[in-house]
Amino acid sequence: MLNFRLKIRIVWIIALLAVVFWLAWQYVVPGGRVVYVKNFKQYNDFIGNLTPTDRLSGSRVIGNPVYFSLRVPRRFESAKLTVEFKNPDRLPIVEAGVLKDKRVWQYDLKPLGNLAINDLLKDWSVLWEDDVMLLQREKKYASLKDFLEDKPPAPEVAAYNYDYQTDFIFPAYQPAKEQRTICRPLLGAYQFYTYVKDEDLFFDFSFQDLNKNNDSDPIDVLVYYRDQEIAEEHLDDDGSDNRSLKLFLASMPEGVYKVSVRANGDIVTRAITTKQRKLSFINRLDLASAPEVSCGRNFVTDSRRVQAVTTLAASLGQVKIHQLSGSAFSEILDISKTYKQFETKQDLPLLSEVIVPSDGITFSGDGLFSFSEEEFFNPQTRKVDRNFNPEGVNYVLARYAPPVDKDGALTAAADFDLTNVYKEKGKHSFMISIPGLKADDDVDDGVEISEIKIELKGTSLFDKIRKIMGYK
Amino acid sequence: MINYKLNILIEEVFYCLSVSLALFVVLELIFPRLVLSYINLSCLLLSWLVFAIILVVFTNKNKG
Repeated sequence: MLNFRLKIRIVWIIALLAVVFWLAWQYVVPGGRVVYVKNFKQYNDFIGNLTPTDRLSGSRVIGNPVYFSLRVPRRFESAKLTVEFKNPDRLPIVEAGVLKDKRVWQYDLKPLGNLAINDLLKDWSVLWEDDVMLLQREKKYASLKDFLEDKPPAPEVAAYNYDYQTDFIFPAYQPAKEQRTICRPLLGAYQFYTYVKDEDLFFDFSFQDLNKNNDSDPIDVLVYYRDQEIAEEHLDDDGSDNRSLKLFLASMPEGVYKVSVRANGDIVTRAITTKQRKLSFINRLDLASAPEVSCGRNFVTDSRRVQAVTTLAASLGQVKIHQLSGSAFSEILDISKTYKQFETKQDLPLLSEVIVPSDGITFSGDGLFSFSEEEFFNPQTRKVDRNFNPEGVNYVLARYAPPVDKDGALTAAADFDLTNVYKEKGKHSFMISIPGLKADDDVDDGVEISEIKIELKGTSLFDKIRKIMGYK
Repeated sequence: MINYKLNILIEEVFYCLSVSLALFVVLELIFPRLVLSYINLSCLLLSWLVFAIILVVFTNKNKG
């Protein structure tokens, strides 16, 4: 009998140790590679549910964007996200991204589906080099290198998920002789393009810290030239309500510069003093509410569609949009509710003037924004976005792999670098973006997601030990 | 004889569930989500409770 009890005990002790060993194996991931799959039929502890729920109908995404979390047991270097979805309503763009910077709410977006490019692939000539495709209306170039060396006229080229450098030059540009001050208050983070020729790059930012929350509110200003960061200035939160930062770069080469101001929603830029004549804000203008300021109520944009949202009842009203040199209004946006996004219904003219009832409204669009026509310029390559029209375009450059179509079910993958992305309590935040999809419109459209698979890769236990031994 | 072996089996399963429960709770406290990601501790607790009841009833029956 003792033998029988002993045998049973040995069996369950070994089984329990095996379970503990297996749990430790899953936690440490010694091979450096692990795959998590969520198929919405059963609970998954690693891939969180899609949120917010008011943008979902079951697993069907009916509003943009939606988010999900990925809990990781330890540090990984890369993630391959594979999404299985159906797009019966032919929504033009489906993208996924990982949260890189929580302060400026910046996601690293990658394509999952682009209908415009999928349609062009049927008729245009395609050239593949690594993960880059060159689509040509009529085949002229035999290689990507030939295309990049020849550089066809900028209006004939569109790009998607590809940084196409065009060396934008203003032939008749003359630097300004005097400084000027832009006093339209801007809330939080923003980016803008500026142009430099035979002059220094100079900006004097005046910030106001609203101190609505108790967090620290640092400010960073970065300058990019040809997509490379060339300068950075940092301003700590010293507790004061007003701070200023001067950005000065002497004798810069001629060309387009991008300035990125990274700040949270507690910071208002009260004024920007500069000598630069050209200033175009990228995709977004978050006009802070400052009733005591009277610096104009208009701006210009080349966006084909403009969205507006406000959180303030005092900012409700009609936004009037018209072609810059015309008098008749193209469209009137009636912002009648707070916390609701309103969008123009038709494509706007090439350059529109927008007249706002008051500040405290956030405007966004697929183009650039400036406070005057004189300041406005667009050095960007045309993008193959949801409003893309191939008329006049002969070449498309894209870093994009079309999804695999199996009886209407699409499978698309995107790779993400996890080394410098934001992580909170062991969780990464992901987003699925479907521009233009709204839950509160009268259109019953959406994207049905059936599966999310994430493959994580990192240093294996063996490599880690070798690394440690290497230092001894 | 069969009853005696069954009694031992039930006792050992109960001990196994007790040790598992204690071990998994401690592991979960030290390494959050290590156990809960894969094992439903509520089911384990319920199983432990069921075997505890069976053990008490079985022991009482044998004594009776």
